[in-house]
Amino acid sequence: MTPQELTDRLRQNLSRLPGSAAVQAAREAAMNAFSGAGFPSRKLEDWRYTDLRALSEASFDLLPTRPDDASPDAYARLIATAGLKTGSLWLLFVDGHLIVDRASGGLPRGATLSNLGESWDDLDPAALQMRGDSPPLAALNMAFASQGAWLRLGEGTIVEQPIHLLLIDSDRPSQAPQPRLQIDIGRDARATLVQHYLGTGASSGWTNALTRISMQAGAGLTLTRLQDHGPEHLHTELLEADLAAGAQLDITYIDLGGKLVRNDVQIKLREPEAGCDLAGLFVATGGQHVDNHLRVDHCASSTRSREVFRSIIGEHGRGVFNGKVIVHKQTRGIDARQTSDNLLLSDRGEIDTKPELEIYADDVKCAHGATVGELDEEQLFYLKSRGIADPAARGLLTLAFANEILSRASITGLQRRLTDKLDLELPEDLQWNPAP
Amino acid sequence: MLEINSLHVSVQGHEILDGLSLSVGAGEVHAIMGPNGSGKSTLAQVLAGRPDYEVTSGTVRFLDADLLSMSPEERARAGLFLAFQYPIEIPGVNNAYLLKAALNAQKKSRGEPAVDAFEFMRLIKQHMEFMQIPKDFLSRSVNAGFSGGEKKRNEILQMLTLQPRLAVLDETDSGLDVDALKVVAKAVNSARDPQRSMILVTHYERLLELIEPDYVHVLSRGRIVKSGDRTLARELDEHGYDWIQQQAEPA
Repeated sequence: MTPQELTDRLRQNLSRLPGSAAVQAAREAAMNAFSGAGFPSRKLEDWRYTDLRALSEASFDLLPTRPDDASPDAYARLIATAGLKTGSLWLLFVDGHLIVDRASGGLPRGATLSNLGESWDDLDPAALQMRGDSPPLAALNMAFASQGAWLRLGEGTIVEQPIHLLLIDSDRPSQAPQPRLQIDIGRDARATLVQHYLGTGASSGWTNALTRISMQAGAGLTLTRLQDHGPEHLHTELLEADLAAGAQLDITYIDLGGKLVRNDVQIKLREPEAGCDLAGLFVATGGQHVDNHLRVDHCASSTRSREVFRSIIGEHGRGVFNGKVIVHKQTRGIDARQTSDNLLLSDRGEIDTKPELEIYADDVKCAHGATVGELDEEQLFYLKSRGIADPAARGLLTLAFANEILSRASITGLQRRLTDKLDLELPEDLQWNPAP
Repeated sequence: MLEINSLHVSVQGHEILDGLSLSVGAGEVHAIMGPNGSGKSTLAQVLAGRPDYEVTSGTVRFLDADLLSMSPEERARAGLFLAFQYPIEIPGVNNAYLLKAALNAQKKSRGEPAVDAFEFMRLIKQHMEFMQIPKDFLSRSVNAGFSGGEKKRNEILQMLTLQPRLAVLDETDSGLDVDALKVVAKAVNSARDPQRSMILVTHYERLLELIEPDYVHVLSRGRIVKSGDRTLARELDEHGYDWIQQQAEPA
């Protein structure tokens, strides 16, 4: 899959992709940008630990067709894991195609949710531009994305109910959907979004997602995003957010599935009093490679950021965490804290964690810390001294480590998914929830 | 109940217990006192099976079984309970879950049916009321962010829940104010039973004013150098440990 082959594929299909001339021009510009750079190699500092050859040397279809069997019934088992209830707001995409919309009709006045496939031309021109510092794969999404979701909240609009986006992989081989999510939150408006990337063991595709968030003054957004693709699926993603004065963005990333996963999260705190709270839990075991790259730009005074990321690395698992915080010149009263805690369950697992602070101002309060370790022997002994057997004590402490992040996520059944995934024994059934 | 015979224990190559012997009968309460570094806490931890403490020689029999060959969880299931001097914090696990897991692990090993949620809550609330522990405690993480006094109360709550045959309370009185000490003492006294024995490891006589032991032992340099009844505790409170240590010096 060379950049040239991808360029040809785009050109042959450009007229059939949604969007008028301006959108087509944006697609071509993005494709040119990607061709110029190519797939990022490990010679680049940001890609030092993550080898994309599994991606670049394989062949994927970046323009999947709509699957014939695409109905909620065909994916009932995966949909059930999302914990939806009667009256929940949700959208279902399969291989990037919108299949079911049970959300847009249930929103309050002032909120609009549309299929991007039908509204590319209405996007703000800025939403079609690539940022100079965006990771290169996002340009491929810009070039090939056909469908996706666009959530708009007018001034003061509050959507209390969470909106669930289910992005499911079909079992067709080598499909590479490029889902695009655009979120524009107006002044003092607020919403909660839950993204579920789901697949079965048979999926062998590649998801390359782009999420763009724009928040006006005083806006609030809580985003929980679960990635639980099948074990052979590849996942790359960029989330970019731009926050105006006093806006607050809370993000929780949970990565359980996928074979090769690279998440980039880039937040610009553009105006005073904006803040972001980023939490994540990622699991890498049995040949999984999971890489999280975060970047927070404190562009204005009195901005605040929190990053709390945890990983659980099992046998033959490889994790990467890079958290960069940049405090720009002529800002004051910045408060930035970052922690990366990593649990190594096997000596045949590896984690590379790197906090990075770049500070170009004086009046700052910045702290970062990283730990890598095994289960705590004192805690193990304490549990065993109460009669709990060794494997159950280990299982419980592993779950406890994850609970600190899982308890932030508004998705039911995450504890069960984690214990199943890692084959953890527990002393008591999970119906008796151990999370505080 | 418990027979310790000439126990030698090393921690990181240093001998801490040097031939300690002690016999605890059913229903008896023994106090173990002694200066810092005499080996009191080591004794408590080694009975519970702490892995990095090496028993170099000696025997310990508990309810006619070889305690030293048992894992920590087997000891707990056999009815041994250690109230930790420094209870361990476990963020991410709530107290209710730990209590239920511990109780059921022990019931299961005895071939008893697991306690159901309703019965468990009834039992636990009764004990919490007795221990003057607030209701929100059950949904909080085990010992995380607890004050010293709360942690100690939690240990005693676990003891009341698990109903052990032998309870070893390692300096449960330290760090408690007078009122908390009274609550703990009341709970410990309520747990006294002809079928249950206790070992109180303590620094101070004030606990023994509230929980009257049947025997008091003084530990010095890894062995028991003097035993007596509770009047010995008062003597220690008045005169300190020096006179006993001098007596114990080999001629």
